[in-house]
Amino acid sequence: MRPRDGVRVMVVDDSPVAREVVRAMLETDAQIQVVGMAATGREAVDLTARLRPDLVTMDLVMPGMDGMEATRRIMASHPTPILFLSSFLGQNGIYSRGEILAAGALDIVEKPQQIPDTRWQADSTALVRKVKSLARVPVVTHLHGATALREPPSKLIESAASRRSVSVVAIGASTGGPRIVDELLSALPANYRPAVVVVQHMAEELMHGWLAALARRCGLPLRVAEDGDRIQSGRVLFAPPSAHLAVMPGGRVCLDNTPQSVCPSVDVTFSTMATVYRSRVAGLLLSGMGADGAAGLLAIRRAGGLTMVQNESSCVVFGMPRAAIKLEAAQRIYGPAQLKRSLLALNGARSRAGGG
Amino acid sequence: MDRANPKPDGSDPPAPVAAPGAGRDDVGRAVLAHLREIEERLAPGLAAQVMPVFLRDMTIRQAALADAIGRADTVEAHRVAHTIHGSAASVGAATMMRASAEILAHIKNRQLDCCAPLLGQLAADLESVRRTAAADGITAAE
Repeated sequence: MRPRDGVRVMVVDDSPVAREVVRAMLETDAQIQVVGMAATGREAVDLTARLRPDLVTMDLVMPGMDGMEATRRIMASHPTPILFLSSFLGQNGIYSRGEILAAGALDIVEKPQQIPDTRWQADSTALVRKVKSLARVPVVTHLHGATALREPPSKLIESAASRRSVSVVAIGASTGGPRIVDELLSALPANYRPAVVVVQHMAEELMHGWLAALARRCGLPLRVAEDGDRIQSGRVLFAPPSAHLAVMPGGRVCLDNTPQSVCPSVDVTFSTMATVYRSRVAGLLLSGMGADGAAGLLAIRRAGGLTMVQNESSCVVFGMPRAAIKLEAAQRIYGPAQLKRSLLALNGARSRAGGG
Repeated sequence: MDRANPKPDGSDPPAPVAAPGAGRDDVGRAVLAHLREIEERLAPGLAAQVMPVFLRDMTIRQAALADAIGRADTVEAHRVAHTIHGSAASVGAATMMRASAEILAHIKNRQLDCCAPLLGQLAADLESVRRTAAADGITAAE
């Protein structure tokens, strides 16, 4: 559901004080309306189905059904953007950030508190900005909470791995990614038909130099995406280093500048592309620390797209691909040469080296 | 570490709690002043919206915490103490935050015997907030 005149939010927290504080913070913005509040995970699932809010703010630790389980169930039955507000994160957290995102949440922030009071304004401003931007993100059904998840992997329907019609290739990478991204993009011929979108975690000061060098080796035009850009055949778009790249219907790019620990988020790009392009997207998750991209790759797979991850022996850090494999998001686990061959097989394209 | 905002997980030793009775009458006034200040600058009606809920919820939580500690149910005690810490932070009750952070540390270290005086302080602070709020026309939510 898209917010039109305003953003309808549901607040979930077992503490009524926290609920009131979050509501007061959100309603400092006239465009946000808190349409419901829930004290337990079970209430949250029921109210989401009934109220269909544009976004849910979710507490983690609650009696009975916790925020993780509530998120899984909401994403399985009534997919809704979910923002976790929790102080149970960090080194003593009971769930990792990756696990929370894999359950279907879009982001996690520290629960706002008022002390010292100078933080009230900063916290409420940041919260409002994040809620308004995440409420615009299209979300897809996750089957974590459904019985289908308990079926053995062999029952998952495998998409054809190659030689299929794909409109967009989505690539996510972090530590160790630039080298393999460079290798893959340099292999694409000038007449390569699918559009390519790349999310590479990289410092801003390094990004432009890298892209300038890459542009000399890549046969396709490439650029850093701007808000409102459109994904086009035969062009490579990179997520900017300080914004999330979400893909809206029609292939329009929507940038979210909200600062957070993982930025740009591969999950945001992958999951929105899964929503828009369904089976016409191929997702590649490459070397990188953490779990960003794993949930998004699963969304692509669930949408019928083709999913591949870089294999352990060729990864500098086998974190993100491992997380995707653990989620059963990866249909193929390939080294660089196989990844290249698969990309080139899409739509029958051929590499320049191969005589294309 | 910000001493006004100790970590609720007990990973750092919290600042020592003030001696019983020291500045006790100031607790409620400080909380209300804190909310009123935010109210005037940013969120009209905040005190009237949050305080009644805080008074009612904190009464229930403190009883639940005492009960969980009495039963040596450290999981439940930790969960409730964490909620108390968050609620205290929400209304600017710094001494209650510190007391609950210290309780969390004791629970983590399985030193439940050390919690009794801190529970007493939480109760006294709550009473102070209740009295001040009542004088301002705010009572606990039904």
